[in-house]
Amino acid sequence: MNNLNFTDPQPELAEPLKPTKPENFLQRSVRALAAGLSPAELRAMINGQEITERPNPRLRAHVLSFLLHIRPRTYAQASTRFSYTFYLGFFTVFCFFVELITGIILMVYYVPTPESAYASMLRLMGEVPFGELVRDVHRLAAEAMVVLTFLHLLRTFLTVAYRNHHRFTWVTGVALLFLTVALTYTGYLLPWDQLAYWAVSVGSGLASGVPWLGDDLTLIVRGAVEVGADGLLRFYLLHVVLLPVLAGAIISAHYYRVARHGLTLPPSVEEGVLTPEQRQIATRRIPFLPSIFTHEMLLVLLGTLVLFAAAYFFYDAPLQSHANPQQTPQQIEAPWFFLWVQGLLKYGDKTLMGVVVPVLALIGLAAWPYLDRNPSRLLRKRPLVVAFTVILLAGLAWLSYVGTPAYGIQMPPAVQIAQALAPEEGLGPLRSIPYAQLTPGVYQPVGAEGVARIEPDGIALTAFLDEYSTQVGRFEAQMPEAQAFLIIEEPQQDLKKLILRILWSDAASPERETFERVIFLHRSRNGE
Amino acid sequence: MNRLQRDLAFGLIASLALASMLVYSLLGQEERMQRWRKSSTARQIEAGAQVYSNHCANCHGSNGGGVGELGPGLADAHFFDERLEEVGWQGTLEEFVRSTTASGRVTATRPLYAGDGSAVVMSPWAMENGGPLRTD
Repeated sequence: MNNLNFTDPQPELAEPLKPTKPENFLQRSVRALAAGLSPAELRAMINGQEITERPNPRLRAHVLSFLLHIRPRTYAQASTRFSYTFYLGFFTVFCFFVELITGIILMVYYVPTPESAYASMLRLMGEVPFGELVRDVHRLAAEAMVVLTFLHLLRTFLTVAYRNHHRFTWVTGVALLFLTVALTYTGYLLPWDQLAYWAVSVGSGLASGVPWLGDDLTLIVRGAVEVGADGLLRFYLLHVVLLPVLAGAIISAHYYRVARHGLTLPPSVEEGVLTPEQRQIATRRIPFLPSIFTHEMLLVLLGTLVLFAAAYFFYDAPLQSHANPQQTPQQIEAPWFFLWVQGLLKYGDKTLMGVVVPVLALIGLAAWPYLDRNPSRLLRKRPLVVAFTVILLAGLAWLSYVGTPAYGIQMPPAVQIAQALAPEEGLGPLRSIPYAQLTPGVYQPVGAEGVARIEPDGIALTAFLDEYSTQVGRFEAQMPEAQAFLIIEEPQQDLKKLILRILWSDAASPERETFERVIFLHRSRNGE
Repeated sequence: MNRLQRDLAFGLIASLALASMLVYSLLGQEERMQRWRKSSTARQIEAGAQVYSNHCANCHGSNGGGVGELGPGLADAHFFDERLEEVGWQGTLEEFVRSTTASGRVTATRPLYAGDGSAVVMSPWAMENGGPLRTD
C-alpha cells in the first residue's frame, strides 16, 4: 500500500480552505496551530464523531503540516497491533529524541578535555539542579536504545518483515544498529573516569587487529598512540556531531521507506487462515488522525514517565575515580553490549575474533533478506531459521558471560578477597559499615585461636568480620594456616585508615606470605 | 468512553504523575546537591590520603610528622607559620605545596635535609615532569 503518493489522488486537499461562515481570531489560531483542524473538528475527533467539513480535514492535515506529511494518512489495523510490533521501532526513535534533548543539556556543562572533563561531571552532579537526573536519563535511555534497536531487529527478523521493498529498509536498520552502538560507545569515554578510560583503551586497541591498516586505524581512532586529549576530542565530536547527524539521516531514510512502501501486516494475516470478517477487520484502514496520533502521544508520555521514574528511583549512572593511565584496574570490563566481543577474544587472536568475525556477522546480517529463500513468513514453516536464531541468541549470551572479567582469568586469592570486601571502585562491604561502628583497633576474624580478641562494636562490623572470615575460608586450600586482620586507625579527624592484612603459609617459601590493602574512609563519604 | 477518550484520560494521568515526580524531585534538589558535594569532597580527601600514604609517608611520616633527616614535617606549626617566609614564597601555602610536589626540589633549603649533594632532594611528582600524579 503506497501511502505517500506524490501524485495525490485527492488534489482538493491542497486547495485553500473556504470556511462556510466567518471565523473569529481564536478559531483561526486553532486552525493555524492544528494543521488546518478547526475547534469543532477537534471536538468531533475527541467525541468519536464524523468529520465536520469537506474536504476531509483529518487527511488535509497531512498536506498542510510538515511533520504530518511524512506520516502515512492511514494504517492497516493489523499493522498497528502491540502484539505484532511491540512498538519497538517507535520507542527506539523516542529514545533517540530523549538522547538529543538530554545530550544538548549536558553539552552546556561538559568540557571535552582530560583536565576538565571529570571536574565538569562533578560540577554537573553537585551544582546543577536536576544535573544527576538528566545524566542518569541520558545514560539509561542510551542503554535502552541499544536493547530496543536489537529487539526491533529481532522482531523484524522473526516476522520476516524485510521482504520485497523492505529489503533495503532492513539494511538501513542494520546500519542504525551499528550507529546506535557506536553512539553509546563514543559517549562511554566522555566522563573520563577509570571505567571509561580503560574500556575505551582496550576497545580501541581492537582497531590494531585490522590487517595492514591496523596501526594507522588505531591512530585515527585515538588521535595518538594512547587514548588522551586527542582521543577524547575525537570521541566527543563523533558523539555529538557526526554520529547523530548520520543517525538522523538514516532514521529518516529508514522511516521514509517504511511509510512509502507501507507497514507490513502480521504473517498470520498475510498467510493465515482467516474468516472474511476477520480479514476485513485486520485490513481495515485507520486514519492517523485522531486515533493513532493520540495513542502515540500517550506512548510518549508513558515512555517519559517510565524513563524518568526508573532513572530517579532505581538507576545511578556510574562515575568511578578519575581516569589514571598509570593505574590499571584489577578488572577491565567492556560495556555490556561488547562483552560478546571480549568473550570472542578469549577464544582466539585479535584479528580473527576481534575484527573478522564481528565484521562478517554484520555483513551477514545486512545481506540476510537477499539470501532468505523461504517464501513463507510463518514461524512454523521456518524451523531452520527458528533453530538458528535460538542458537545465535544462546551463543551471544554465552560469549557475553565468557567476556565478563571473572571468566577464565583468576586473580590471586588474596586479591580476590580484597576485591570482594573493599573493591577498588564502588562501596563494597567494608566501606558500607557505618562510620561510627569503625572503632579503632586490631580485629582478627581468622587464625586468632588462643589469642585475646577485640570484640567488634556494632552489628555491621560484626557482619563484615563474618563475611571476611567466609571469604578467607573459600581459599583454605590455596592459603593454608591463614590469618586475617582488619586494622582500624584514625590518623585525623573524620578520616579512618582501614587495613586488610592476610598472612598465609606457602610450601615453596619458608617465610609467611603477606597481602595488604589499605583504604581510607571519610565520615562524609555517604553525604552525611 | 471510546479508545481516543481512554488514551486522553490515561495521558492526563501520566502527565500528572510525571509533573508530580518532577516537583518532588525539584523540592529535594538542594539537599541532593549538598549531599553530593559533601560526598565528592570526602572522596577527594580519601584519594589524597591514599596518594600521601603511597608516595609521601616514607619521607614525611604517616601522620605528616617528618622522618628524621629524610623529610621535614608537614603538619607542624613551623610548616604552617614560618615555611613560606623561610623560602621567600610570595603566594599561598597551597600554591607552595602544589608547586613543590609537581616540580620537586633540586636542593634543600634547610641544612638538615641537604642530602649528600649528588641527587635531587625530592623528585618531581607531576606527570608532565615524569612523575605519577595528575595535576588536578
